[in-house]
Order: sequence, then structure tokens, then C-alpha cells
Amino acid sequence: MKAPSLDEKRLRQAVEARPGPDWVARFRETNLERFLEAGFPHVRQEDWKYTSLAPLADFSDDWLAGTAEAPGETAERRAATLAREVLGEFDAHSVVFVDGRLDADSLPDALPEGVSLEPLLKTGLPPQSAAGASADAMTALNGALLTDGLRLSLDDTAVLDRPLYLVFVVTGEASAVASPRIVIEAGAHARATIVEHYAGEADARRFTNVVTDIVQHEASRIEHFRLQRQPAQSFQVSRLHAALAARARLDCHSLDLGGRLVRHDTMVRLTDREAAVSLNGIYVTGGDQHVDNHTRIDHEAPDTVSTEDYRGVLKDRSRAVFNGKVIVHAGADGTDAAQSNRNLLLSDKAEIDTKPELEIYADDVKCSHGATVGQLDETALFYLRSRGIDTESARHLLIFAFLRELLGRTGTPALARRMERMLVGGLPEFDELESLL
Amino acid sequence: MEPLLEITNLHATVEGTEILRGLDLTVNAGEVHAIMGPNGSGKSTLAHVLAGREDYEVTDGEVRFRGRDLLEMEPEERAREGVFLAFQYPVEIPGVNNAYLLKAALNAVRHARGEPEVDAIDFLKLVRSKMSLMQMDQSFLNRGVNEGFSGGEKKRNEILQMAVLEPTLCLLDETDSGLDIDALKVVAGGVNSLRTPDRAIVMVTHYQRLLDYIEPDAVHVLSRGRIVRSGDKNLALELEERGYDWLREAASA
Repeated sequence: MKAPSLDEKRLRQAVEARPGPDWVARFRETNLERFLEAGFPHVRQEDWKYTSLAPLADFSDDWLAGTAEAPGETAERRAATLAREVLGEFDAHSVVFVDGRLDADSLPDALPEGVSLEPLLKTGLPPQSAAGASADAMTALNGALLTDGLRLSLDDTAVLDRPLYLVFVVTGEASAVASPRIVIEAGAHARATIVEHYAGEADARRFTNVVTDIVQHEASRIEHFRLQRQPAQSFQVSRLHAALAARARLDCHSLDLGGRLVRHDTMVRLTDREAAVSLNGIYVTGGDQHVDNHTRIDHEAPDTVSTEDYRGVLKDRSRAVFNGKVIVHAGADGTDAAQSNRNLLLSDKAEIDTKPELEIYADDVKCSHGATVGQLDETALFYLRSRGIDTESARHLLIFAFLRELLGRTGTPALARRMERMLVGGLPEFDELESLL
Repeated sequence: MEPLLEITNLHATVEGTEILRGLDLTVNAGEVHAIMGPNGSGKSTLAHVLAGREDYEVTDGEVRFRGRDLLEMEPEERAREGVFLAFQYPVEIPGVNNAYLLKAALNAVRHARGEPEVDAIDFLKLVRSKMSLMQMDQSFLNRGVNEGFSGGEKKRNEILQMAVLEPTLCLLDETDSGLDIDALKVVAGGVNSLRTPDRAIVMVTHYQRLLDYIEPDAVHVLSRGRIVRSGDKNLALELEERGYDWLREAASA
């Protein structure tokens, strides 16, 4: 099999055509070289064994051609409407990205003391970065084609009073890759809740390649949500890089409902004592969808804690991948790492590939992992039917309950409710469960 | 008067093994029947067959419920027609809260009776009164179905559902197992509140002690898939004293 690749000349042209200050040009150049070094991912690489980006390479003429120009006026208006719909009445500091470009007018002006939120192209990158030196090809590609970005900084003890809600909308208008980068730095004891919400016009066939870069200082707390309902023919690759200092805590919640081909890599380094991370992921796939969650957690210090719980429901011919790598480095004694991936396969043609990878180089370590692939619990189904609930409704209720259980772990009930609504609204099967909410 | 439940020559197998071997039982409205018997005699199988569990295959015989062929009906249809099984091991369903299940179940039953959906205020009023009968805290409503409940709480929750749904035929599968005496009294109180002339209760139990609190009109002994003796409540006391062996011998003689 020929490895998919990008036309280097076109890629260079695309990189050079992007506007921005000098530092960005240099940043893109560095990342371009890094990307060329790493090469476009292909299925012979262990990390990409189950997810082929060949379909992305196939239409690279499209997404490399555009220069990330502003979408037309009517498209812009439509995007604004869509973004408003996505946000609804949600009480948050919101920022809108259209086709990967920051809508500067949408930046909130009243933020609590010690919190700053600036366009990345204006401020540049902070000296400390979790993604900075990553050798990951798609992180490099994001940097090389950087469209725009946002930098959130929290001083020591600063608290973001409401969630920062980032709405990423893709339109059917433009073709260039949306390549935004979100950079978050939380000072000691700082706290924030951040939401990335991906949506788009139904007919958009777009590629979004996003990087989120989180640096957390001592005892800071971040809750991060990624809600993804991309148009049916769109592609999304995302990277979340995080580095946590002592007693810092990061809680991630993801919900994947849309997109044609979706690949997330969540890479968290627990660099000092008692840092803790939890990753909770939900994916519901149907049709020809492909959703891949790769996680990598580096326990680099003693008494660090990680918990992962990913749950999926797969229908039709869809496919999902879960790969959870946990590395317990030498000296990281007292590490506690728990990982679970549970799947409901609702069709014979659906497929899940699930794999834990544990590498342990320390003592006194507690590591657990478990993966299940199954159908609905017949006993529970009978129990509900014996209460008068018809078979179909009982099935839907059990599927929903299986996913909903994870939402109970969020620290922001309003976002849990929002995710419930997305689940119910996003799936025809769940219509009748409306009254559950 | 037509019996509420009439079982004739019922045979049922589980994974190819015959468990019920020609069981006959007639239950009239207003009656409470206790089915007793040693482990493996087929007590729970009977309860599950009546509720429609698909793991059990009925190979022969007939079950009529209010004159209709019960075995033809899906489990949900049986429930809507007024059959309720209180499980021996109620299932935990995290992610579905008790209030939702109760409401969905109540509306399914009401719909079958041609009644409108219950409104939110009436529903809460009804459930609260039944919860206080079962001595359950209101907080149970917002918890997942049986999620993290103790054995006793699960059993109370079963009877709560039964009290809310007001079925015509109540089947209790080893409802007394795992209950301490206080919980047993509460559960019995809930069951006794459902004793009415138009309703029947069939309790499957291993021990006599439940019958101290719910007095049966008839007691049957099940052995090797058949009823080998029937009597009144005194039969239960006799069993308590003599065990089951003498009946087993009598049955095989």
C-alpha cells in the first residue's frame, strides 16, 4: 500500500500564503520542517494502525488551496447565526471561530481580575508550552498551517467565573483547513472551565486540525469539555497536550457525535507529585463514521493519579478505536492509573478496536484497565419490559443510560445537562427520552 | 367466576433442562397464594415464565390470565395487562433514575387502560405517599434505578413500584430473602396494602417467615417442577417443622 502523502510544494505554498506577524511566519516554518520530518501519518505506524488519513490526503488539494481567507459576507452571517444557536442561552464567556479564524469581535471584554484572553497571533506563544516540542506530525501540521488561535492566561489564584465557551463553526463556503490553536496557562491555584464546541453547516466538507495546549501550575484546576458535532462529511483531527505540576488537576470530558473521520489524541504529562487527570469520553457513531480516541498519560512523579473512562455506542458500519497508553516512569512510585473502555455494538457490521498499553518502570504502582464490547444487558432489558416499557424504548433507555452515567462525573452540572441534550437531540432514537431530562 | 390465573400442565425448560413438569395452579381474585419448595424445585422459574422471561422455553401447557392466553403476550404486554413480578435480584440501571422509570411504567399501564398520562403533580403525590408507606427517603427518586441500593432497599423499591402500578396479579419472587426483620415488616406492609378483592398475590418463597406477615389463603409445595401438595397456612408451618424431604419422598413414591 502506498503511504498517503501531501504534495510538499503545495504545502509550502499554503504555509507561505498565510498572513501574520513575523514570529508566526517563523513558527509556521519550524513546524513545517517538523512535519516534513515526521511525515504524513500512515497505517504502518503503530499509532495510526486503525485510522487511515488517506481520505484526508485525497482531498488535500482542497484544504491546502485556500489561504484561510475570511468567508464571504453571507457565509459569515450564517456562521454567526449558527454559533448563536450553538451557544443558546448558556451563561459563559464565549468566543467564536469561523473556519478556524477567530472572530475578534466576539472576544469578551469583561473578565475577572488576573484572567486574560487574547488572540494568539497578537500575543505569541508563552515560554512554557505542553505542545511546543512535540514530534507529533499532526501537531506540527497544525503549527505549520496555523490559522489563528487564542491564549488564555490565569494568574496565580485567578478564577474564571464562568466557563469559557469556544464555538468552532465551519461553513460550506471556504475550503482551507481550519487550523486553530488554543493555549491555556493556569497559574498556581487558578481555576477555569473551558468548552470547545465543534459544529458546522450540514453540507460542509471541511478539515479541522486543532491543537489545545494546557500548562497547569501547582494546584490549579481545569475542567475541559470537547463537544463535537461536525457536519457528516467533515474531518477532525485534534490534539490536546497538557502538562500538570504538583497537585494540579485536569478533568476532560468529550462527546463525539458527528464527523466523518475523527481522531483525537489526548496527551497528558503528570510532572510532579499528586497531579491528577481524568478523561471521560463518549462517542456515538453510525453510518460510515470513524472515531478514534488515543490517549497517552505520562506518570512522571510519585503519587500521581489518572482515570480514564471511554464509552461508545456503535451502529451501522461505523468504526471506533480506543487506544490508551499509560507510562509510569521510573520514580513515579505510588502511581494510581485506572482505565476503562466500554462499548455497545448495535450492528454486526460495526467495529471497535480497543487496546490498553501499559509501560511501568516504577514500584508500588496501582494500574488497572478493562475493555468490554457487548450488546445490551438482557436482564436489564427484561426488567424494563416487565415494567411495561416496550422493547425499543427499553433498548434506547439502556443505551442512553450507559452513556449518561459518565455525565454524572462533570463538575459543571449545566454542561452535563447540555451534553444530555446533545445526546438526545443528536440521535433520533432518543427523541422519546426527552422527558427524561 | 372465571379464575384470575389458571395454569394447566405447564412444562418449561431452561437451556434444554426441564424445570417445570406439568404444573397446575388456579388463583382467584382476592386470594394470596404461597408457593414453597426447596432450591431448584422450579419456584423462580414459574415466576419468570409468568412474567415472560425469554430464557425459559414453555414446551407444553397453558396459562390463562383473566381468560386470555398469557404465554402469547410479550413481557411488556403482560405488565400493561396487570402482571407484575417483584424480582429476587432487582437490576441496577445507573443512568436511569427511579422517578423516570416509575413514571414511564405508570404511563405504559395507564395507556393500556385507556387513561391519560399522569400529570407531574399527581404523580409526585402518588409516589410520595407510596414511598412513605415503604419508609423510603424521597432522595431515592433521583437516584439511578437500584444503583448502590442495599439488598433491603432493592426489595422495598420493588414493592414501591408494585404499589404505584397497582397490578392485578402480583408475583413476588423470594421477596423475603436477604431482609432483616424490620425491612421484612415494611415490605409485608406494602404487600398487604395491595390485598383487595379484585387482585391476587402469588409469593414464591423458601421460608415460612414471610407468611407470618402476609397470611396466605393457600400454600402449595413445589417439588421437581410440580405442585405436590396444597393446603392452607398450616401446611407452611408443617414444612417449617418437618422440612421438605418427606414431601419429596411422597412425590417420588
